[in-house]
Amino acid sequence: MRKNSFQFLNEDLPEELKNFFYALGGTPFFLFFLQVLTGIFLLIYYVPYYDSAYESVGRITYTVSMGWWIRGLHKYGATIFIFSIFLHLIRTFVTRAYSSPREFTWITGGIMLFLSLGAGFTGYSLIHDQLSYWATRVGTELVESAPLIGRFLSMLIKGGERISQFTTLRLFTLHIYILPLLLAIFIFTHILLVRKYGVSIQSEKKYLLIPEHLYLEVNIFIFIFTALTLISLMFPPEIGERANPFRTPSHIKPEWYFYPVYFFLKLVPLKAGIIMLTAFIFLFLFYPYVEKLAEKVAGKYAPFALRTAGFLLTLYFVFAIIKESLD
Amino acid sequence: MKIKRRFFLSKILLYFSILFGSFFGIKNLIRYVVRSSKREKVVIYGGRVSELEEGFKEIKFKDEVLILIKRKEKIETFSSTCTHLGCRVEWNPSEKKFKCPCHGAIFDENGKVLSGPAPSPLKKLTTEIKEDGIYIEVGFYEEE
Repeated sequence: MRKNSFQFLNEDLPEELKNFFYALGGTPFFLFFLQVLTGIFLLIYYVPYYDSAYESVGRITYTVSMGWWIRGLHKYGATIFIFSIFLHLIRTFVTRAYSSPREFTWITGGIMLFLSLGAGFTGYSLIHDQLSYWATRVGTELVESAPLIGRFLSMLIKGGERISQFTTLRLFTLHIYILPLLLAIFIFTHILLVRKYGVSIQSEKKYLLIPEHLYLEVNIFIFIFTALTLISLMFPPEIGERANPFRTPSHIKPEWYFYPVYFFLKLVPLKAGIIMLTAFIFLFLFYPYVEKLAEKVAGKYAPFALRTAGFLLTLYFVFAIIKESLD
Repeated sequence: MKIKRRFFLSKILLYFSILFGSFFGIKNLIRYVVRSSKREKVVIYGGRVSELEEGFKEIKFKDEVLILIKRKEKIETFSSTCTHLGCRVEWNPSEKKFKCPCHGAIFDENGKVLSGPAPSPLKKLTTEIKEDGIYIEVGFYEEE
């Protein structure tokens, strides 16, 4: 009986998964727990109050013993968390691992990417420095410009017409409770789907999930954890100028993972931009079905054309991130 | 299959209660989460005309910055909130242009879009001069 209850851990995996690029799913999984853990430690000192949040982040960063380390792990951990999801996504796209029967695995992964971006956005909104304030402002204005439900959503996030104490508490609630809970649910569903439908490679040579694959994943995680500590040591997290609603600083920019959207919104009219972004989100989330539909409607070369478009889009993402980083 | 009258009535009652309850519950939950408060029209005093030299002046109100520009005897007030995504535009007196630092929108001295992604001109506020005093209608604000 006891043996059976742990039977689900007894799984053979294709040997290709020893390659780092095929083992990318485990990295965000472990980093999620690191984010939760460091988040709990940050909560010991963080004050989710409009007028005190800035001071409390400053206290964590400069006064509390090893506060810089915990904040550094959380801050840079978030970056690596999102970066590893992007890499995992690109590998899945390139190897067409989203093909039937793994469409739902792709969709849950896509939802997790947007939840992570949401967690990133709400996270740096809580710092209350200039970047944080203006990012919140631009983000909520962007939501407000969306047709039909934009105003409702913006009021829901801001808790009123202006950014205030209500906004801080709502972003805090989203960042601490709602988004991590949703992420945990989707991570669980994603793993269940991976277990049910398997991975895309079906080679003859196999090795065990536990302990062999787990050993590899833990090694990757220890490497990343060490790297995060070193990065925090070399570039300790800082806090910018206190939020000032009367002055937008020049060269204000969001975090790097929003650069493609930031750059895109400079180029196109706002309404068109929002409609195109919404369309992109849906096309991206349901891509496995879009590809099938395109093949049915437009013939056998349609998936190739779509994949080329996806490749060009990835190039645009890389270009936008590099360009905005250098500007 | 024969359905008993009592069973049928209890089912109808149950479904109706669920429908009514969810409608009532969701509606009130939305009212709870999306705050609505009384809003009132606010007019503020913007200083004296005689003190405002030929040029411009900034006034801070709540989280807004108003830019007053004097041209001959006329005073015009603009909201400094960019119509693109809400960043704070800055008035450049030498170029006579408003510039947004976020996404690069540029407006002329009348608030009209010259370039960049802004979809509409800067908001112009009704400004009245009464006995040398400047009074600006800043719009509707929540009661504190």
